[in-house]
Formats: sequence, structure tokens, C-alpha cells
Amino acid sequence: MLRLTVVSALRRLLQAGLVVIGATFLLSLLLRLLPVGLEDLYVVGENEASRKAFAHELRLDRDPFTYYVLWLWDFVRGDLGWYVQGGGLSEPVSGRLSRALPVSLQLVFYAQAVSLVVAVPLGIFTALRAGRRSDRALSYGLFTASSIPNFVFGLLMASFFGVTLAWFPPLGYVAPTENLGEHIRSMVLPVAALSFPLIATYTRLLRTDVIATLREDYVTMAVSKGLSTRRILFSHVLRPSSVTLFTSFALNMGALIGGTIVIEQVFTIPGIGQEIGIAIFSRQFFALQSYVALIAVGFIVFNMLADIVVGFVDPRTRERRSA
Amino acid sequence: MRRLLGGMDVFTRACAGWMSLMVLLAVVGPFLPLPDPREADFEASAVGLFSPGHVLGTDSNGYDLLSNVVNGARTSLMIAFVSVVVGGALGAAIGIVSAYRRGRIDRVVNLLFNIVLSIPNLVLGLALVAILATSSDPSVVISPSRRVVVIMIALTCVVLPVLGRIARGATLTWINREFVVAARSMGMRDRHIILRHIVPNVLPAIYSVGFLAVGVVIVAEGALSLLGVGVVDGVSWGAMISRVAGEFTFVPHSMYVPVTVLALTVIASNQLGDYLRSRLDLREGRL
Amino acid sequence: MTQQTTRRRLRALGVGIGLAVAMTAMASPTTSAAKVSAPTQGGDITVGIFNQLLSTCYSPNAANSALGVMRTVYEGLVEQRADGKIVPYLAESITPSADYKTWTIGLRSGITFHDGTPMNVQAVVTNLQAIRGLTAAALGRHTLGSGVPLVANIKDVRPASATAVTIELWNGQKDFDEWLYASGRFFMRSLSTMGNAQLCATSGKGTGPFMFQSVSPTEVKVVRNPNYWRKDKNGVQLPYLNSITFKYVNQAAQRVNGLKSGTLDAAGFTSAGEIKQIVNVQANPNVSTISSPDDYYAMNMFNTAIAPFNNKNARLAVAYAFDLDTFYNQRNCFKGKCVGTKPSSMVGKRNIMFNEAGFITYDLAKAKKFVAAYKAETGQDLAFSLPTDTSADSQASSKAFAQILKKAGITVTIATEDTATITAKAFPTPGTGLNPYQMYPTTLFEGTGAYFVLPFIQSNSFRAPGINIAAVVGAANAPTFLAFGALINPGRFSDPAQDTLVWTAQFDTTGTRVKNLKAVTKFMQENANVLPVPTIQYTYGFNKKLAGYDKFILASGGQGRAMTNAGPNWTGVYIQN
Repeated sequence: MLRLTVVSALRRLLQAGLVVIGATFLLSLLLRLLPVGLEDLYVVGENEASRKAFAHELRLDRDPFTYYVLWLWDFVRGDLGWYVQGGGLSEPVSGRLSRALPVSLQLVFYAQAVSLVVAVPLGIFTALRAGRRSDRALSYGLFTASSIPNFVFGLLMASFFGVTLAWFPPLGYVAPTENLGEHIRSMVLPVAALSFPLIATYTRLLRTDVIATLREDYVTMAVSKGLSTRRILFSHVLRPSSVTLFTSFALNMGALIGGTIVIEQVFTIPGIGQEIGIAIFSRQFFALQSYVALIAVGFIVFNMLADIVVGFVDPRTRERRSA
Repeated sequence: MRRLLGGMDVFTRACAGWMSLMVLLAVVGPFLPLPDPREADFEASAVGLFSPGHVLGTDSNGYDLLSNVVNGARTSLMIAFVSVVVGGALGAAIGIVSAYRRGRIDRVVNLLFNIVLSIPNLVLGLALVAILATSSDPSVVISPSRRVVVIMIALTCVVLPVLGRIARGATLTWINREFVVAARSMGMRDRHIILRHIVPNVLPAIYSVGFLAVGVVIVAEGALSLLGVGVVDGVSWGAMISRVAGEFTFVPHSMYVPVTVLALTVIASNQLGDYLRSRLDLREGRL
Repeated sequence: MTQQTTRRRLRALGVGIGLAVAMTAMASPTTSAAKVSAPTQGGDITVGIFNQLLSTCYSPNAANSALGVMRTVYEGLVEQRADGKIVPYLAESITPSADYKTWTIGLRSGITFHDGTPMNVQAVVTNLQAIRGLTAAALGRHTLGSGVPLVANIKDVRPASATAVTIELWNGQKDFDEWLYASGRFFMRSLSTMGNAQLCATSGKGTGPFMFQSVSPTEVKVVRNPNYWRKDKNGVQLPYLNSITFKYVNQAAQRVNGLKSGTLDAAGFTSAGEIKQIVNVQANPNVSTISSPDDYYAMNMFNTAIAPFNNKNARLAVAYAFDLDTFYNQRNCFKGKCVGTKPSSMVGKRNIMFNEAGFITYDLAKAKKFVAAYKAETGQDLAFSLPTDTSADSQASSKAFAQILKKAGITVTIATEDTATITAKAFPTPGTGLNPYQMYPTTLFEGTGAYFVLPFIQSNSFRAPGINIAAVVGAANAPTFLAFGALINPGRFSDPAQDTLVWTAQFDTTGTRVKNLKAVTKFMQENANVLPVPTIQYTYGFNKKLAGYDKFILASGGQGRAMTNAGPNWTGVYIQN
């Protein structure tokens, strides 16, 4: 049984590797197909010789495939390319990334954590009261909330809680190492904006799942054996339900990274979303390629981990999945 | 259709009504007696709701909000419908055929879907628009309509693998059903089997997820606009929101109007998708 | 992420010199706080700015508020006084010969760069050569910028003594010292960073009151330079502040929010598109504001080399059709408060070239007449496209402009592109083409002198009579320099009559100089070569933490400008005790 799991995990790993290569190659190809040649964008210089030398340095004289292989080799070794300015390399992408990435990761993890902390009790509550008025009110409310784009929440909260009430800073970021209290305060609004739709998603998911599980025979049996509701909930219902939740959690990482781009914009948070925006607007396509590639890799790795972990935790899913 | 309507609760009916209204506005919008959405009223900027000549007021630049909502519906819904229909059609075709054929083609298609899905949809849209909307010749300016097309293409790329995967999954469940197996063993041609037996069964799943996708695309258009790569020079809900995002502290209604319309439309399309899904008893993953 | 506004575009000039920005003057700081304590040292502040600092190097040039960051670290040989006059700064004296052909720059002693190296004759000569574009090969490509044509008249730069540098000119030029100002961009940099593109881009070293501590496009922190060369009038070592963190905050509304909530201690705004926010901030009792003087003369530049504006009737039609009052009320005013002024000449009243003669004002009948004349002559309706960046305000501005011209039967198509693209196209890589836009909204002209007007309206600075660039750089390299010369002429002027007028005025060292300068203005206006639009004002808001400003008494005497397009002079800003 365990060996089967390991084999399927390895297969997932292999597949993830293929997806990574495919995604990064696609990006690389897109870049080379840019309507404005990269040469025209970056290669300026006093004379033909220096222009040629620089084009060579940027590998723009290579064919797209060689270019990609060289890029991948660099990427794997942690060399994410350079910002190019005024006909020269100005700054390594990795330098900026190392400042921006932790900020975005914090945002994403806080949002996930907050969403789960809120959604789990809500989900159980609504499931236990399924069909009653409180459940319906909450469900509709959450459904409505999940339909409102997070940037709208962001804008409204920045104005109301940030300025009118001035409870939290409406923009900016403070590192936890600098001032923990301020760090938390600066994260409240953006995390809240990111969490709203997630809370709704998780709650609905958990509600459906818990309702379904409650109908399972073994739960009915536990009830008939006279076990307390709490006991049943925790030992028989939550564990299988949490698997679905965990899968959704992992799947939402990608959406969340997309969401942070807008939220970072709304709250002026110096994360990877802002770096992507800057890369697009200052036409730093090499940097853009690395950032998007990195996000894709992160997303793929997360999905793969989720799959593998779910496989280990709940053999049923593994069988279902391999079908 | 009647069967579908019959089972609707009040909320779903309201959603269907709202959606129909928006579609109607998108179609007849240009023929309504409204001010030009691109022309400012120099005499009446930042006037409130129910002002003379401006039922929903104007924003701080003097643009009529009602006219922009109505005409914006055209752009926003067109982007949403085109990308979902095109993405859905292509995705469904690819997904169904590859699932039906199985084997190597299926593995490759599945891998391709996974590759595109591995890039978060907003990031993908952003990157595609950034790259495609760069004009090669300085004297050739990118027209607003080309921008709309670029955004449609980008969002179609986002929608395609999602619906493709749904179609593929649904096909896989139908392909082993008795009637398909029977048809195959009777030597029926693949094309017939796909068109007669598989497509009709897979389509409901596509419809319901398609409705959800409409909501996602409308929001994505808004987000792209807010990031400065949307239909900035056109008339769309996203363009409206990004235009007034900076001003709603002193002209609040100019923000609330487009946001409300956008949110209601997304709620409606989500609810309709959900309703369809529950009606058709589908248990597919959400977008 | 959208960055700018119609006229902020120029400020984001990636190519080279900052055509856009300039420095500024003290517009009576409106510090409302009644009791202002005496300035003392200390304090850390956070400032919201509206441009990204893309490099700490001289030549991917910094747009307005990024230039403000640069100016806390770098200083130039000259500086601008509150009245607009350019006076020696890092230089102790700047003395012309009788024929204004040889200028001697005496250096202040004891000034060191942030890396401890002295700002000596060798450093100044090398910097000047780099500004001329001559040391590019030796010191790295990044030094060749579009500021080069501003100093086209320099024939030679050499050490004169241990403390002085000699600049020899091709033609005598009475205001040459002012041309060294270049909108506050001709910085003196440490030799260690000049030869190393990477070092220069990420941790440049100047002589300024602050030093770069950490640099990213969204956030830059500068800290006090303990060895700064200036003290205030009470003998307190400058600067007052310990550190400044500049945060790039794209949306004006976010800057307002930050200011109101105290997240930002100060924030900058430009009247190019942020009028409503400025009015909003000025109305807030907790925020004091300081505005730049009215020295930034915005325009819509006609491209005189291509259709339709290579036709004078087309230019006149647009000039007569432009209803300035309506445009001003619509774009520069909000809730009855207005920012910026309506032009009555191509440059403002304080400028030496100010001349109302020939200035065209709104006249719909005449406009229609010229539209008809254009049609009769070319057989075409008058139509053109206007590049506009993606920001909401730029779009609204262009739409208002189009709406106004429509009355005269002129069709304006709004061509939307991002700021970087517009800038890159209007100022293409030298040698790869010229401004392709039919009309280009920008803020080229500024200041009180001719030094930031004339360079942009001559066909090519390197083609002025008496100048022989090939003799300096060799025949092989001369085309590169000529390409730079053409680069900063986005109007693509090539009329010999205009060139003659410009060069006569520029190299006039006699009493007729001012008259000749005003003649240039008249010529430009009569021929409708530029379309002046309302001036740009830059405003900073300060929350209560910041108490006020020093008087900026310059070492050479007189009061320096407290507020420019680049923002406040941070050297003199101090916090409330």
C-alpha cells in the first residue's frame, strides 16, 4: 500500500517536472515572440560592435530553444536574470526578488491562515444548522461576499478603516523584524481583503462536505452508539472533510498569488505583485519571465505537495485520483 | 427551459432577471437616449444621483455614470461572453476529443492544460496583455478595439484549459457508459458517437462552469483595468472602476455605481452557474 | 500601476536628461503650524512619491519625484535660487572671460563624496566629460545621456589649477553657467561609481546631505551624510533629518490616504492629473502644503516634420480651436479651486523669453477658417492622434482636449499606450528614428532663463554655427552625437529661419540678447509651433510631524529654492519637537 503511494508520488513528481518545463518554455517562447524585438528594446549602444556584444550577452542572438535551455540552467542555479537599462545590465532580479518574495508569502499565508480559522467554525456551524434560517442567511451572505472582487473590498476598507476611522494604515508594509506590532497592523487590511472570498469558499466547501459526511453510515452508527456530537465531529467528520479543504487550500494558492498582485497595488505593498507590475511597465521582460516562472513553479509544487499529502492521508482519494 | 425556470427560487430568478437586463442593455445601449459615455459634461462634474440629465450622476470628470454603465456593459459582457464562449468551445472540443481518443494525445493535452493552469489566471492575463499589446511599429498605434481583442485573447487563454479539463473529465465518465460502449461495438463512427452521445451529456457541465467563468472574467477585466492594462481608453466597468478608484473619497457615488453593477452581475452569473450545477447534479470543481 | 498623467509622461523620461523636470523655488511654504520650533537634528520620515527610482545612476534618467530622491544624494556645480537665478553651489565661483568663451570654475575645498574621495579637479573634469558623453567608452555606456546636447557648445574641459577647472566654448555664451544646471540633473558623482555600471545603478555616491542605504524601485532609504559640507545659519550641521524613506505610491488617492492617516509624513502631487487630490489635501487642516513656483510650462508639442502639422494651417487651426478657458476650468479646477495658470505666452511671466506678441487665443471662427484652408490645400480633413497614457486623468485630459477641438471640426483620436512606450517612442534610441507622434503632450520648458527652452527648439545643438563636434570626438563618432542632438527636438523643427533666430539669441553676448530671445518666442507663437497648455505645479503635503523648512541660505548667498518639480529641498526639512 505504502509502496503504491510512493510510486504514485513519484509519478506526480515527474509530471510536475514536465509541467514546470512546459510552463517556463511557453513563457520563454512568448518573450521571444514579442512584437517589439527584445533587441530593439534593450540593445542600445554607440556602435554596431557594442550592440552586437550586448545582444550576445543577453543571448538574443541564440535561437529560442538554446535560449530557453540556457535560461533554464541559470534559473535552476538561482540566477534569475537581470534588469536591463540604458544598454547595460543594471541589477540582478534575484536581489529584488529576495526582498519582495517574503512580503508576498507573508500576505498569502496570513490570508490562508485567517481564512481557515474563520471558515472552519463557520462551516461546521452552518452544516449543523443546514436548512435553518441562520444557515441560509450566512450562506447567502458568504456567497454574495465571495462574488465581490477583493480589490473592491480593498479600496473600500482602505478608505473606511484606513482613513475615516484610521484604525489601520491604509498603505505600506512594515517588516516583522522591524516592528512586530506595526507589521501586524499594516497587514490587517490587505489580509482581510484577500480573505473575504476565501472564507466564503472554504466555508461553503466545508459545509457541503460536513453535511455529506454526517450522512455516512459510520457517523450514523457513531450517533446511535451515543457518542457526543463534539466527539463525532472531531474524530469522524472533520478528518475526512479536512482533506477536501486541504486540497482546496493548495489549489487556492495560485488564485491567491494572482489576488495579491491587485491587493499589493491597492495597499502599496512592496511584494512580488508590485515587482511584476513594475517589470511590465518598465518593460523588464527578462525579469517578468523569471517572476512568472517562479510563481508557476511555486504553484505547481504546491499542487503536487497537496496531491501527495492527500494521497498519504486518505487512501480513498488516491484511488479515486488514479482512476 | 421551462423545466429550468420552474425550479428557480426567488433569488435565482432575480439573478436571471438581472443578467437578462444587463444583456439587454449591452445590446440596445447605444440606441438609448443617453449622453455620449466618452464626452464630459463640462457644466456638471461630480453631480450626485438623480441630477437633471444625469440619473446616476457624473464622476469628477463629468462623465455620465448611467451612460458609462450601460455602454460599459457592452464591452465588459462582450469580453466575458466571447472569451467564455470561444474558450469553452475550443476547450470542450479539445477536451472531449482527447478524452475520447485516450492514449498519448490525451496525455499531451492534459499536460498542456496543466501547464497553462499552473500560471495563476491574473498573472497569465497580465503577462499576455503586456506582451500582445506592445506595438511593433511606433507609427502604428494600438487602437482601443485591438486592446479589447488582446484582452479577449488573454482571457480566452485563461478560460480554455479550465473548461477543457471539465469537458475532459466529464467525457471520461461518459465514455464507459453502456450506450457509448454499445455504439462503439456496433461500429458507429467516432464522430457520430461524440456528437450524438457525448457532447449532449458533457455540455451541461460546460454551461454551469461557463456561467461561473463569466463572473471570473468580468472580475479579471476589472482587475486588469485597475492594474492599468485593461480597456483603459474604452468604456467598460473595469475602466470605470479604475478611473474613479482614486476619487471615491470625495465623489463616492462614482465608485459605488460601477462596483454595485459589477458585483451584482458577478453574483448573478455565479448563482446561475451554481443553480445549473445543482439542477444538473454535477459535482465538478469550481474555477 | 498606471503611472502618469498626460504631462507626467515627460517626467518619466527614461532616455536621458530630464527634459521634464526642473527645480524649483520657494513658494512661500504654507506651514500653518503657528509655533515652529527652531530646527534641530534628528527624525526619520517616510515620504510618498509618484515616480519610481529605476536606477541611482545618472542616465536612465529620473522622473520628477525620483529626481527628488536623487537630489538628496547628488548635487551639481550650480543651484537655483528662490528667484530662479542659477548660482554656484559645489562650485565656489564661475567666472567668464570677457568674450564669454572661456569659463573658470573655482571649486569649493573640503567637499568629499560619500565614499570618502575628494571632489577635486580631476573628479569635476571627469564628470563634465561624462556629461558631454565623451568618457562613455572608458566609463561605461550608461553615462551617455540625452543631456549631451545641452552642453554641445563646450569645446574643451581641462584642469586650470589645483582648485579650478577651465571650460572652453565654441561660441561665446552669456548664460553658459545656467546651462550647467540642466533642471538640477548635472550631478557630480564619485569616480568609483562612474566606471562601474552596476555600482552606479544600485549605490551611487554623490556629495549630498544623504546617502543611499537601500534602493529598490518601490522604496528607497537615504540616511544622513555625517560629513556633509553645509551647516545652517545657526551652525547646526545639515541635514536635520536622520533618514528619509521614499515610498513609491502610484495612486494619488493612496498618497492622500497615507498622509491623512500618518502612514506617510509627506507626499508629493503633480497638477498634471492630480488637481482633485491637491485640492483635497489643501483643504485638510492637518496637512500643510508647499507648492512649486509657476515655472513649468506645459505644452502639446506639434510634430512639424509630419502630416498634418507640417502644414501651418493645421497648426493654426488647432491653436485657434483650443478653448483654453474651458480646458482650464475642466482640467485644472475642482470645486472652485484651481491649480496651475493659463498661459499667455509659450513661457511664463518670470521667464526671460516671455513675450505675448503673436500668442494665439481661442477663436472658433478663425479655427474653422484654417480647417477649411487645410482641407483646400491638402484635400484632407484635419485629424490627428494624441498619445495618452493609461491613467484615468490622462485619458480624461485627452478626451476633454478632443471634445474642445471637435467644435472646430478637428478630429482627435486618442492613442493609448503605457508611459514607458510613449517616452521611448518620443525619444527613441539615438539613430533609430525620431518622434513619430503627430502631437506630443509634454513639459519641456521651465525656469526663468533660456537654458531649458532653447535646447528643445533648435534642429540640432551640434549643428549650431561654430560648433565642430567631429573635431572633438572624431568623424566616426560624430553621427552618434548628432543623433543625440536631434533626439531632444521632439517638435522636429528644421526651419532654418527658426534656427538662425535661436542661435543668434543663444550666442548673443551683448545688450540685444534679451530682445533676441523674445523674438524667438514671438516667432514660435506666430507660427503656432507649440500649443501652450496650463502650467504644471508640484505640491507636497506635510503632516503635523514635520515642522517646517530652513531658509536654504545658499553658500554663495541668497535663498535657495525650497520646492521644485523634484519636491522639497529635504536638506532643510525638520521635524516638530
